Amino acid sequence: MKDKVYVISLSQVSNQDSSNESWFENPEYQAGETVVCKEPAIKEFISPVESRRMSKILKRALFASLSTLKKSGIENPDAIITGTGMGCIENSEKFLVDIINYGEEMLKPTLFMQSTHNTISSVIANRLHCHGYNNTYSHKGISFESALMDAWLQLRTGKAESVLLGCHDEITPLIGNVMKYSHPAFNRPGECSMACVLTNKYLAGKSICQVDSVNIFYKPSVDQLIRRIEESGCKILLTGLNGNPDNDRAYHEVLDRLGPSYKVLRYKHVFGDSFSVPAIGFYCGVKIIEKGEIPEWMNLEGDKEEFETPEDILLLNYDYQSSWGMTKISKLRR
Amino acid sequence: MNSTERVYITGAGIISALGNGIEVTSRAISQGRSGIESVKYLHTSHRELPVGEVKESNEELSARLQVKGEASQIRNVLLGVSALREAVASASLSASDLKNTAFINGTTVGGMDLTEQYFKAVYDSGGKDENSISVRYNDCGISTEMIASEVGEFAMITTSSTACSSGANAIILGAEMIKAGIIDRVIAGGTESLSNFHFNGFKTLMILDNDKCRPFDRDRKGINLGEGAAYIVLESERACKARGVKPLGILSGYGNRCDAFHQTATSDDGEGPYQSMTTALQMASLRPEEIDYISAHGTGTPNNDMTELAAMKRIWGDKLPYFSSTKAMTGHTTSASGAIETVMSLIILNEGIIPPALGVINPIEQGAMPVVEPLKAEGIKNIVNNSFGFGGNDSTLIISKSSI
Repeated sequence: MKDKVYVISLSQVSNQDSSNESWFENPEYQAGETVVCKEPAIKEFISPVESRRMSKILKRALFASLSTLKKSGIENPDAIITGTGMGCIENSEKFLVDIINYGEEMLKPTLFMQSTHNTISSVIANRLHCHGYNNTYSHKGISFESALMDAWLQLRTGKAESVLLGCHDEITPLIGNVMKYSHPAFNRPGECSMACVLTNKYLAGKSICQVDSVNIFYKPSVDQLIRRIEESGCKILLTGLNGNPDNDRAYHEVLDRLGPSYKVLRYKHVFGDSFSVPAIGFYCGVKIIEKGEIPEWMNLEGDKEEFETPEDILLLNYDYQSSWGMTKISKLRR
Repeated sequence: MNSTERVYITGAGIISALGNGIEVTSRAISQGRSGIESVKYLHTSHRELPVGEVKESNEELSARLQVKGEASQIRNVLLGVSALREAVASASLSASDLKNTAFINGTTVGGMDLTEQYFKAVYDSGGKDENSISVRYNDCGISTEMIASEVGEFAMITTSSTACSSGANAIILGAEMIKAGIIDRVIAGGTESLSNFHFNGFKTLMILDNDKCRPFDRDRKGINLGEGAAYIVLESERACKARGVKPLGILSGYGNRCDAFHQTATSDDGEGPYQSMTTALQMASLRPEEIDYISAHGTGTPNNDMTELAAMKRIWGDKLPYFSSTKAMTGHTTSASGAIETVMSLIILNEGIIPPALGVINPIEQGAMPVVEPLKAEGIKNIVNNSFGFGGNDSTLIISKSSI
């Protein structure tokens, strides 16, 4: 049993620039009812011919994956694990629209072939010729924690020494509208991609932080959540508070009963809401530990306590009326 | 973390075109019966294509299961509830046991069968009318939670979605969690109902057989899609002993590998299946000749069966164990297939009857004749169960006889 899991590199595609990390200090606030991605410069990794055959989510996922692998210096990971809430929804929507318009004849096979949730992991594997462990989780707002838990298990048991972990969701104009009805606890429906490389070996100059634990609790009691938060020893809570009372009520039930020594951070007011946005929260948390500072924009709750150098962060992620994800990350301790 | 921890199977539930439950399925195996017929329930204009439908309408299923509300309209959920309840009962789990149990479901279609009924209204309104709520159900996770909420309270719930190997991969995650000591008990498997979406999707790929499918026949033409659900209860040795239950079998090994060849086609050399099977054999510490039967993925497409056989021959050479595919009995139940065939493997272990690959007249190649009649075979100890999905998501489970 390997004793630690390390984050080596991360890449993201969101409403922020994917080419640099200036968003961590000064994010751009995107206006509008939905939050949409800035398309990355994919040319370095994806040829125009390939690009034409791919939907938005596949391009972004492949870009984020290849870009984080490049940063990590690991060419071919032992495992590829993906989380996605809606999967390849653009292609699914197009296939459904074609059924409306053309009936059950003359439908396009490519749309169907690239509609399943696992298309993302397999497009990456095909590109890398990676025969290793390959899995996809699709469970609403805890798709990321589900994939992370699997990655963590693969690394801790030594079945894989390196994992490419990603979490990806896209919206279309139609889905952006639909989500106001179908997901009323979201604030602004959005989309994003995040990919990172995790290893079970410390790599000097590369390891950024540790992933100490990943837990998913289905409909836990407030008492259980408070106990788990206290047991984690973390005083910095990076939460999925989004400004929508339907969503935030559950957080407040827990946070209001914690002592005053906690610092509560948030990120969804910048990145919007999507099933994959907890993966961006993870990115934010890793950057806080790497840089040793908490950017002002994440700290909307007003200071309860100053932390000179943030060392441990608990990522708290509530999936409306259902699960809580709890991920502890911390600074390197060797 | 004790990675040598054994993972026992202490309960099982199943529903498919063969009928509802272990007993009915067991009889169908010994009779070599097929549940594949012409379309009865699916709203499609392609009535000519045979399918393996569960022979109950949504109304009949929801009445039998006493499921109300939205869940009663989602076939994927109804099938899941039926199989999950049987699994819980067969393992004699109490409501408080479930509170310490994780539920991991494999599905890909999710609530698409409901979404597609409302999608025209959603589309026509630009997503701005209340039918848009229906899109909420087109989500793998929602159908998993709806299934769970009809059965009990669980400690943790998640969903794997790797197309036709989803059910197998749900079982693998469950076993990994038990081996890692995260939890002592997991119910895992898969569910998939037919939907117009994937039925037409498979049709565009031109891999559906217009007649009854014939996996491993020389002249096989393709798939008959099916539907169903199955779950198994996985427990640590400690949990088994604490409850004093007799296991139905052991999940002695598993492998998940990627063919990394093509989104829907499979490689000539079967690299993905070869690696998933060898990984599983190594984990189970079994030599190839110790495998008594291969429950093949065997979809009946020219491509899949050729690739799978190529991979089998790389491991077993010309001395193939007994093998067959049950997809000519159940149809290809996609995300549920790995779980359905795991439950069938438990039946085979305990009843000693190997199900036939129906419809085979000429074998796929010389010397590679599958079992074609129900075969009484005593002393079956180890079964290899393959599930391969789109995107080259290849998984193998090894189900072995329990010694406790």
